[in-house]
Amino acid sequence: MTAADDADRQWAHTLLARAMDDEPELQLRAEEVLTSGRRSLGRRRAALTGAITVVALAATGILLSLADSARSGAQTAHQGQPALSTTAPAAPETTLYGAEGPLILDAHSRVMTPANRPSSGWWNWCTPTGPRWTRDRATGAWTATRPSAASTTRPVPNHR
Amino acid sequence: VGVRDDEFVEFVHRCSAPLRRTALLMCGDWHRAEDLVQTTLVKLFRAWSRVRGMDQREACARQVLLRTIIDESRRFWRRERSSDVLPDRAIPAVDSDLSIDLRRALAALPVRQRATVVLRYWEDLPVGEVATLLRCNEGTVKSQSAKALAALRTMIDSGRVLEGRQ
Repeated sequence: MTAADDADRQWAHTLLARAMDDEPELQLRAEEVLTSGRRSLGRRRAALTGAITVVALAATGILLSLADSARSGAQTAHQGQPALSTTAPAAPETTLYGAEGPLILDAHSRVMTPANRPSSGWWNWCTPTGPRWTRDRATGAWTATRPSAASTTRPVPNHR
Repeated sequence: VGVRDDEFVEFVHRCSAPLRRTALLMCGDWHRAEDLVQTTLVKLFRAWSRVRGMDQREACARQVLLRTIIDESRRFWRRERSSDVLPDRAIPAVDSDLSIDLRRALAALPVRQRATVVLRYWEDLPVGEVATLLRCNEGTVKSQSAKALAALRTMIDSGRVLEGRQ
C-alpha cells in the first residue's frame, strides 16, 4: 500500500467515524425480529404450499384429460374404426334443409346440429339430443341415429 | 427450534449495532438504518438453518444488508428523479451537526460508490472482498473508491459540506 493510499484510508475512516457521532440508542429488539422472522417464514411456507397445490391440481387435470383421450382412442380402435383419418372431407360443413328446419352437417365431428345452435364439439357433448350422423367409411354413406336409439356413450372425437 | 432461536437472538444482540452503523453510512438516517437492519435480520432468519452453520455469519449479514440497500435504491418509488422544484423538507433540530452534513455528503454519492467507500474504509475490507460483495472486479472497486473520495473532497472543499466548521 502506498503512502497516498494510506493517507486516503486514514482520511476516509476519520470522515466516516465523524459521520456517526450522535448514535442514538438501538430500538431494535431481538424478540421482535424473531417474531417478524417467524411470521415471514410462515407466509413464505403458505405461499409455497399454495403454489404446489395449484401445480398439483393443474397436473392432475392434464393427466385426467390425457387418460380420457387415450381411453377414447382405445374405444375407437376396438370398434374397428381408424383412430386417425388421413383424408380431409372436401366440404367440412354442409347445410341440409329438412322437415326439422335447416341443419348443419359437420363432417369433422360427424354430427348434425340445428343451424340456430352452435355446432361446436362442446355443444354436442353437453346436449346430445339432436340426430347423430355417422358415415360409413367403406361406402361413404351417412346414417342418422336418434338420441333414443343412440347409445349412452360419449361421441367419439375425431383424432385428426 | 429453541436452540436455533436462542442462537439467532444471540446473533441479533451481537450484530445489530455494527450493522446499523454500516446501514447509517449507506442511507444517512438512523431510523431508516434500523429498518434496514431489521429487514436484513428477518431475511437471515428465513435462511438461518443454512447461515447458522457458516463461520462468517457477520460477513453474510453484511452482504445481505448491502444487497437490501442496493435493491431498495433501485425501486421505483425510491429512485432519485431530477426536478426543477426542490421538495419541501423538514429541518432536523440539530441541522448544524457536523455528522449530519457528512452523511449528506455520503448520501450524494451514487449507491455503489457509497458502498465501496463504506466497505473499504469503514469495514476495512480488502479490495478483493469488496469486489466479491459488490459483484464486480477489483479494478472497478479501486476506480469507484477513487471517484467517491474525489467527490467527497470536492464537496468539502467547495463548502457545500462542513461550511465554516473546519
